[in-house]
Amino acid sequence: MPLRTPIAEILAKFQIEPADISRVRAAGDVLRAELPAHIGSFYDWMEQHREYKLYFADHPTRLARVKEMQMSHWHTFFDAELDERWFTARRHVGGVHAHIDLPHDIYFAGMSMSGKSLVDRLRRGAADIADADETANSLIKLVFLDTFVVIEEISRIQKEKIAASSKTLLEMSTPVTPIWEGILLLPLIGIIDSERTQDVMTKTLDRIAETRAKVFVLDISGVAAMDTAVANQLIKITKATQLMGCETIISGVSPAIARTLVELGVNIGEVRTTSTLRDSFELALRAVGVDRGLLGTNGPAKS
Amino acid sequence: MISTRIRDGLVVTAGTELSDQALLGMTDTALENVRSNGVRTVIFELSALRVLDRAEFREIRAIQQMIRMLGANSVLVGLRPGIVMYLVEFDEDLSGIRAYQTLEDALDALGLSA
Repeated sequence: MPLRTPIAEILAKFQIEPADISRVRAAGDVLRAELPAHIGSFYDWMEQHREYKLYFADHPTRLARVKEMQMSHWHTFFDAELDERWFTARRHVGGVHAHIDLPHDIYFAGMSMSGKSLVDRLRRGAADIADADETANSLIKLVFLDTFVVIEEISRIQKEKIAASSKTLLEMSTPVTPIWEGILLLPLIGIIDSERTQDVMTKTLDRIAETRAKVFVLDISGVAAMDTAVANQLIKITKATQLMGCETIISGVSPAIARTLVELGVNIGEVRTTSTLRDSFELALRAVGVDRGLLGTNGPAKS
Repeated sequence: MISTRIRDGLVVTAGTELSDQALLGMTDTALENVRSNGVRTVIFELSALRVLDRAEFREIRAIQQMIRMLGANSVLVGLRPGIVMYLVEFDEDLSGIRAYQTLEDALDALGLSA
């Protein structure tokens, strides 16, 4: 997790000064009594949105619990102790909302509604408060800070989820599989970049060491595009498997790829290549000593 | 460094790393056995080797060349994935190397097993 910005720096950025904090605390003396009414109007507002149905329609107990949490949230808001604990509590709120995949719009709209509701109440009770306008500003600053911390946590969690799923995808995209005693197959599909070729190299060599495979069939018929860099990476892989005592056969070389490679002047060296997976598989079987008779007679031309 | 004679093959087994002294020992043992004891194939068994830098790898390649000049063959056995990736990544010249994962594979392939 990246280092978080120090609290003092965040407060400075939001222009929250000690005066703001004491104003919010003073406002709290007046507004705490209004909180039940405020929360009531919040849920009246919320009821008009489809999210209300989505999250509360079938969960009457949840609604009561959430209202209670919201009450304590506003109490700590008016305590305005902007310390590490306060930030942790807001991040927890973010975590809960990320967990239920709450859309940003309804969260922002809700906070905007809450800010307005509180400021309206503040103005109505203006007689009891020294400088109501300044206090309203301070209140809004804190509402924005509060919203920011929550939303940042939500987006952090979302990013984490995306990173985790792309890692899973990478994992799934390199299925080096034993298909016969001593034969490994890897069908490469999609776009090949340097990160993926590195992954292919690592997985392949590890699997060779593990399974003591003698032949590695690399099927590139599903590869979207071939250029010099990718071709050189593939050749490196064949060299590496060779050092592990395992011959690489590249299958699925299309006429277009063959043409590209020759035109690019890529020297494929002694790597054996075939156009179909079937031919490669037969070469592989022969390399591990499977009887010719088992293979039938209508195979490809003898090599 | 240990060496074991198997028929007309010689297995030269390296330890966890290659010192200069070990490399010298490997050279002497391999060449002497090819010259005087009728060894036709030298098998460098490197599976215990944890690290191998490019200079050390080139030393091994040089020994292989010397063996070649005396009219015998040599193969490498048991290189680890990490070492292999390192050598390939740095574009070491790997042409003409015969390599096997296990000593058993090598002996089978070279017709030295019983």
